[in-house]
Parts: sequence; C-alpha cells; structure tokens
Amino acid sequence: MVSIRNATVDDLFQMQHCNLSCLPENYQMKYYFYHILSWPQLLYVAEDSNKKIVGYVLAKMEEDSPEVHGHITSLAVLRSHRKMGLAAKLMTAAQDAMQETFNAEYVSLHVRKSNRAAFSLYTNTLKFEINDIEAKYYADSEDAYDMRKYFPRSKNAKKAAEAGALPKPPTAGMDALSLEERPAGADGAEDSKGAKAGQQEGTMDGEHFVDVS
Amino acid sequence: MAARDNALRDNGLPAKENTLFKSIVKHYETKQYKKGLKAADIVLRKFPEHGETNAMKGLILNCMERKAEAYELVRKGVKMDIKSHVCWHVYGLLYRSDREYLQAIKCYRSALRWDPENIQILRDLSLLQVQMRDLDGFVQTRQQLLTLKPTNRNNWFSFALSQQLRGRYKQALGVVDAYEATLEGAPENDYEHSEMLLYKNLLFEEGGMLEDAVNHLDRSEPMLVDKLFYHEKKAQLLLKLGRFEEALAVYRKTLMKRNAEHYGYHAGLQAATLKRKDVVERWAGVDASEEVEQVLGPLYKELQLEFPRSSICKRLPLDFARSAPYFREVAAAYIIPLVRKGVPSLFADIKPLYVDSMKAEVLGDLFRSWLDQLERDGKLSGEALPELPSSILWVRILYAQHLDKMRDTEGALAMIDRAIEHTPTLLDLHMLKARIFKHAGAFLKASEQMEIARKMDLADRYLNTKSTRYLLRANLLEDATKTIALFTKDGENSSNLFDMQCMWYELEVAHCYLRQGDFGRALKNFTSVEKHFGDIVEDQFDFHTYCIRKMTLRAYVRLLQLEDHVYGHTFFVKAACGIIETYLRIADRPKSSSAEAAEAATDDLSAAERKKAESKRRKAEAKAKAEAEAKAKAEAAAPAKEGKGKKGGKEKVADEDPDGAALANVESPLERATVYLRTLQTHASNELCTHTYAFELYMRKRRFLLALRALRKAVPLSRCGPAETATVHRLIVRFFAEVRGAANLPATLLAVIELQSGALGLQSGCELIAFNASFLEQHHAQPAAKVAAAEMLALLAPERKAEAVSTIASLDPSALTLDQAIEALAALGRLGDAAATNDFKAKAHGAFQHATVFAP
Repeated sequence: MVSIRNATVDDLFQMQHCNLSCLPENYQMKYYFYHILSWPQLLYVAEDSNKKIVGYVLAKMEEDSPEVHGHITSLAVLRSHRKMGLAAKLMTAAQDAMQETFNAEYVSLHVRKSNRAAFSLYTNTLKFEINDIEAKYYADSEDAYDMRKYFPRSKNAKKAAEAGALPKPPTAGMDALSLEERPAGADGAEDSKGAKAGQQEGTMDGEHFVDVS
Repeated sequence: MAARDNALRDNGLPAKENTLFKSIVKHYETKQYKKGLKAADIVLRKFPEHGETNAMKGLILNCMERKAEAYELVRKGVKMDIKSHVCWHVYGLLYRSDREYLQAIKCYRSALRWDPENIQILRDLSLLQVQMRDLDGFVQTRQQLLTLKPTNRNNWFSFALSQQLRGRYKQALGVVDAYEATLEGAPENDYEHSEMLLYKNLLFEEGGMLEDAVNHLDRSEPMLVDKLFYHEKKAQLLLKLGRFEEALAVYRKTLMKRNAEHYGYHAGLQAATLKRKDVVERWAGVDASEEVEQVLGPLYKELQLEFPRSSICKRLPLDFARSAPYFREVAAAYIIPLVRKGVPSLFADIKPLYVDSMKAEVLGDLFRSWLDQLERDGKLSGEALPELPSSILWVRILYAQHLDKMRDTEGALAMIDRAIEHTPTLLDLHMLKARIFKHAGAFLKASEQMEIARKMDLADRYLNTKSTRYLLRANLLEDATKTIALFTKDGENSSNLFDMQCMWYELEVAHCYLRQGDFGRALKNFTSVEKHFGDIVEDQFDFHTYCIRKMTLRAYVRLLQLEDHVYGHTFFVKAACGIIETYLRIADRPKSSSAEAAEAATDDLSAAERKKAESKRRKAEAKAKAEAEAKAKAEAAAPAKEGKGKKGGKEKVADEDPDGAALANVESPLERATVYLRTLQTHASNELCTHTYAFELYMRKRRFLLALRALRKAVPLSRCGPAETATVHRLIVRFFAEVRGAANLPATLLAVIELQSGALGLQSGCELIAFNASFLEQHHAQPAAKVAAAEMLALLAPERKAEAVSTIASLDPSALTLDQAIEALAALGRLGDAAATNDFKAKAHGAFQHATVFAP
C-alpha cells in the first residue's frame, strides 16, 4: 500500500513539505538539492497510493572522516501513516545503499533524548547503539544521543581484498556552495558552534520521527 | 581572480603600484575588503584615472554593501579603460552578484573581446550561459574551454553535458568516449567512475540507443557501485526493447527480492508478464481488461505466497480487479488483516478505488456486513475465533469514511461518534470527525475537532500543522498564527516560516486574507511563495560546478529539468493565480471605493482624528506609490528574475512593506497581473485556471484577440469535468456577447473573431441564445451546466431573468454536491433576486445542515 523507493529530484518539493508538516527541524530547498546531488542513492521516499509522499529519509556520507560512514540527516513519517513500519523500511533501504554503493563501515544519527519512540526504533528494531551524548545539540538546547550502527564487515572486507586496497571515498568537496547558504536549519545557536563545515552540517540534523508499531 | 591573468597585458602601472594592484585582487579574493580598499586608495591617489583599480575598488565596495558607489566606480573604470578585460570582467561580476545575468553575460563577452582565451572569464561565462539556458552559447564556450585545457576532466564532462542539453547525444557520447580513451589503469575513485559510466548509459538511453544502452550496462556492471540502479535500469531497458522474458527475470528474481514494496517494480513485472511495453503503474478498474485480471490474478496469488509480508502484493489486485466477485474476494483478504492491526491510513489507501462505482458499492457492502457480524456476535462469519474489541472500532472508522465519501454526512458523523464513545482516547477519531465536517462545509466545527486532536498530543507537529490549516480555513487567522508558532524557532514572528520556505502556510494565509478582502496582506503572502521560487531557481547556480566535479551528472541533469519547469509547480501556480485574482479584484473595485471605505471607517471618529487619519492615509498612499514606482523601475532594469536581497543575507533587512500596502496600491493592477499570467502561460498551459485568468485579464484590457486565444486553449481543458465545461461555456458566451455588442470594433477584427468561432463550438452567425440553449440541452443532466446556462440566459436576454432565476431556484439541493449548491446560490446572488436567493439558501440548509454558507 505504500511504496518504498529511491527519491528523485522531483520528489524534493514533497519531501520538504512532509518535513515541514511533521518535524521541527526544517531545511531550505537547497539543502535537499545538496543531498540528492551528492549522494543520490541515499534518499528514499514512502509514496502512498495517491502518489503522495508520506515519509522520507535524507541521508549522506561523511567523507572527511577516517572511517567512511553514512549519516542520517532526517527521517520522517506522517502521523497519518504510522503502524506500517515505514520508518524502519526507509532506514533499511538507506543503510543498504550506504554499504553497497559507498562501502560505509557504519551509519550514525542524532536523536533527541526525549524522543522515546524514535529511540526505541533505533535501538530495538534497527540495533543502533549509543556512541555519545551531545549536550545541548538542538536549538532548544535539548541533548542528543549520538548513535551508531556498525555494518557487518564481511562484504566490505571481501571487496577490499579483491581491489587490493580499501576504496577511497569520493573526494570532491562542497566548497563551491557557500557555507552561509547551506545550513538551512542552522539558527543563531547552531551557527555559534561555528567550526568546520563537517561539524556544522551535523547540527543540521532533523529529529527523527518514528512510529511505534 | 579577475585580474590574475592580466600579465598578458600591461596594465599601465609602475612596478610598485602594480604590486599594490595585485594585492588588491588578492585581498578581494580572500575577502579582506578593508585592506583591499586601502591598497586601492593608495594607487588611486597617484593614478586617479587608472581604470582597473577603480573597477576593483568598486567590486570591493559591492561586497561591503555599498552598491551605488560600486556601480559608479566600476562604470567609471570601464570608461577609463574600455579595452581592459579586467574592467569588463569586474563589471560582469558586479551584475552577477545582483543576479542580473543577461547584463553580466554582455560584460563577459566584452571582456573576452580583449582577452579571448581567458579561462577564468570563459568559465564564468559558461556558468551564466547554463544558468540562463543559453544552450548554444554554452556549447561554444565549453568547447573552447576543452580545447584550451583538455587535461581537466571537468572540461570534458561539461562539454559532453552541453551537447546533451542541446539534444546531441551522439556528440556527447563521442566526448565521453574520447575522455575514456585517455584513462589508464584502475579508476581513482570507484564511485565517480561508476557515476560516469551511468551517465554515459543515460546518454545512450536518452538518445534512443536502447540496445547499446543494455549492452553498455552489462559491460560496465563490474565497475558499477550502484548495483540497485544497475538492476532497475536493466529491467526498464529490456522492457522497452520488448525483451519480456529477460525483463521478467530481473523484476521477479532480483528486484522483487530486494524490495517487494515498490510500485515501479510491480508495474514492470506486470507489463513484462502481459507482454506490453507500456507500463501502467496503477490500474483503475476502467483500464484493466478482463485479460489483465485473468493473467495478473494468478500471478499475484503466487507473489503473495512468495512475499507473505508484502502488503503491496495484496493491495494491487484491488486495482486491476474487474469483476465484482473477484474484487470482493481480494478486497476482503487485503482489508481484514489491516483492520485487525488498526492502520489509520487504510481508507486513504483504498479511496482511489471509488472512481469505480462497482468497487465503491462492494466496499460499502463489506464494511456494513462486517459491522453487522461483529455487533451481533463479536466475530466475522466463517471465523472460529472472536475478534479483539479494536476490530469493531476500526471497521466503524472505515465505514464512517465510506459514508463520508458517499456524502452521507449524518451517517458518517453518527458512526464516528460511536467510535469515539468506544475509544475516547484515540485522537485519530477527532481528526476524522474534523475531516467529515470539513467535507460538509462546516469549517468552524471542523477546526474545533482538529483542536481537540491537537491538544491530545502537543508534541506532534503533524497535528499542529493540521490544526493550523483548519483554523485558517475557518478564517481564524490569529489563532492559526499562534498555533503554528508553537513549533517555529522565533515564536510568532513568521520569519522562520519564510526562511524555511513553508509555502503551504503562506498560501493558506494569503487565501484567508483574500477572503477577508485584505488585498495587501494577501499579496504579501502570495509573493513570498514567488520569492521562494526565485531562490530555488537561483539555487542551481552553485551546482553547475559542483556536480561536474562530483560526477553526479545524472542527478544534475534531472535538477536542470526540474528547474526548467519549476514555475509549473502547483505551489507557484496557486500563488500566481492568487496574485492575479487579487489584482483583478483590486481593478474591479469601484474607483472611489477605497476612499468610501476609509470614510465609512472614520465615521465614528472626531473631526481631529479624522483629519489625522486622512493625512496618514495620504502619506501612506504617497509612500506606497513611490515604492511601487521604484520597484517597477528596478524590475524594468532587471528583467531577469525576482527575489533579490537574500544573498549573503546574514543581517535581515527590515521589511519596508510588511502589510503589502505597496503591493496592493499599484498604478495598474492589470499590468501587474499580466506579468504573472505570462509565467503561467509559459509554464502552466495545461491548467485551466491559466486560460480563465488570461480571459478575464484580456477582456478587461479589451484585447479581444488575446482573449480569444485564451478561449481556444481553454476549450480542450473544459472536458476535464462538468464544472470545467460550465466554466468555459460561460466564457465563450460572455466573449461573443461583449464583442458582438461592442460599438466601433474594426470590421477586420470582427471578421477574424467570427472566423474562429467554429473552433469554440459556435457556428458563425449563430445566435448566442440558441447556442446557450443547445448547450443546456446537451448537458441538461449536469447541474453546473444548468446554472451556467441560466445565468448566461439572463446576461443575453435580461427580460428573461425570471426564467433564469427559476431554473436555478428549482434545483433540488439534496441532489447536488456541496460545491454545486454553493455555485447555484452564488449565481442567484449575482442575478440579484433576493427572495429566490433566500429561498434557495433555506432549502440548501436543509440538505447541508452543517455548511456555514447556508446557515441562516
């Protein structure tokens, strides 16, 4: 009844609309463009029988880190479409692409400490573990759990052995995009964390809204 | 960057000053503007007439928000040294920073006259060319850059891309081939290499070379890291080539196993099974033949066994089912487990089936019988075990929505109330009740229910969004503002909503203001949406270079295509229609009405207060006028795109027209509206509203041929439905009534119009009254047509107004939809018969008890 598929550029308007309808962390269109034009494999949508986007996952690769890994920027499912396990399906699809296409070692995400439904999905259903706690991560100064899930190594290790060395991540940076424009979700508080592009991006994460089935 | 390559040409400065000049450029590039300014001033003290230094100083001032001085200095610089490519380049950069790309292109071209092989300038030029879609120019520039610097990979792919955008796929492939021939050894970056191969594959496909595409895909497979895409594309290509067996294998053995919940895969699988190349993503009962049901029925039986957890495998048979017994069987098999699970979106999921009246009937029958069985003995017939109490709740929920869909408001409300009684804590029930009220035209009651739901879970923004929308529909603007502010970072200040491009909200707010006759604020909000689209168009700029480097060319090409049609997006179309509608109302306002309204408002004031208010009003008017003029001027100078002032916008510039007074107070509202109309005509020509607004505008401007053209475009779209048919009929009648009745129209114009009348269904010379009567005869079963024909009769033959009134008044509201009843009431109002209007309203109130419009 709801299709899970790779997102296309044409889905981005509806993804933004879905995000604005149900999450407090929002982004300008350019940020969606940035994701799909950098890692087109990592965006998935849930589309209902009326061709309406009722959920999405927006994910990326952290390319400057010593361990190649994916990161979930934002995940949302409309309240009206709960109880179908859509969030888990979207997450699984994005995780598969991170491994298969980008050889990611793990996937990370941030979640509000108070968001118990999301936390339970990540922990119980998707087997994420807490890596750290980031104090006052969100604009309203709530703490975030920094969570990770390591992927089974077998697949990557085999491929690496074949290739003779670990594949390099894509190298082209993001410097063409002016930094001020990028963090659509960044408000004063987040800007003041300043620092490098990579870190700043981290603060642009959305919350993760999830259903508890 | 501008002047880095100027070693080629002596810039006329002695060594010491030349060093300083270079430092100016460097400071500019590193954004050390104050230092750059200082260096420039030192040079200028000695050489005040040095063109390039003047230009550079201007460029730096531009970055320091001193625009006027910047333009003055750069222009001065160009004049002093008109043969300097630096000056012209700087001039181009200045325009570019203001998004005046056409001007910037001219400047770059002048710069290239004096330094034709300047790579930096060529690159800057090519960016503007692709941004403005000057594709021929883009191809030329990219070719030149590739010739100048073939060692750079980006130059190869930019050139290939430029060829692709011109539709020259063979040439584009040639470029990629040539680049590949230069490659040695293993690729440096697996991902980029894989994307490159897939881009090449896209060129084969778009160029119609499908066999080549499949072969290339297979050859490339070991190098592709996007395996999922490989399989998807392969299956699609095989299908297009009619290689059904092979396509079937990929869909069934690979793609379905990876993800059985994918409409696209199912559509492909079905097409391959049916051996047809045209893929039908969702069958509606009408386009599925008996053969389809017979072939796909057993297939889905198998698939359901193979993928027991897939809900799409159970759902799709409901789409292609044609016979009632089969539909009944698959519908029950699909719905009952979801009822047990309690899936809130179930009805939304099956709602599209209601286009088929057989299916609607079977569904209603199923729901009713389940409800009977559960109420009678707590279990479904044929089942051994009793159901959980929640099952009856979810059946009631389904049935309530079914009744609502069948326009049985009372039944739906009764059913939902029983469900609420059963489980008062389930907030979804209040959302449903709100929706039923909304469909019944009871916006206030709907909003009250939605508020109940919202308050049951304050942490959920979805509920907040819904409630805000319902409050706006009920014209409770203040409450809506407060409600949505609970989830925005800066509270009730709406700038966060604007910054985040929250367009649904801006559109709803704008319509709310429009309903209340606050034209300024309506325009303010509509134009916010327009600004977002300006920014979204602008957003592509940075990606022109970024995607080439990243090699994400496939996604990039899609972005360019999206941008080409972005003004056809429904949000923009709604905003533009809203703007046009508002300007039409402003134009239609009796000339003195604003003064009258102001007088009425000041009636209760003392003489002194009145005087004060009057002077305030006059000042505001003068200011608004000045602003409008300034804006019009700026627009005339910059025909490119709207939406400036956002760039580099850390500090927010105070909004000079927060209430949209200047927007509403324009010299010629019709001209303003026409600007938006043109955009719609280019990008939304398949929307009827584009042509109805074109008609309204051109009739008011007495541009009859343009109005006629609008009608000709509207006619094919009038077949969408009875309401559209009626709308277009009115326009045709109004058009000919006006034209034939007009004095002093040139005979040639009339002749041309009469010549075209056949295309509008009106035989030349045919009397309009007869035309109107034959329209009514043809569409007599359609209430919308009846209303339209009656109203047009009154227009054509005022003496027959009574007949028109009685035709409309005799409609039975209980046989109408809510929209039809509202339209009938409005028509009676327009005909000016108060008694008939009131009678009809009372009758309609009986049929639509909850609808606010008919409330006494």
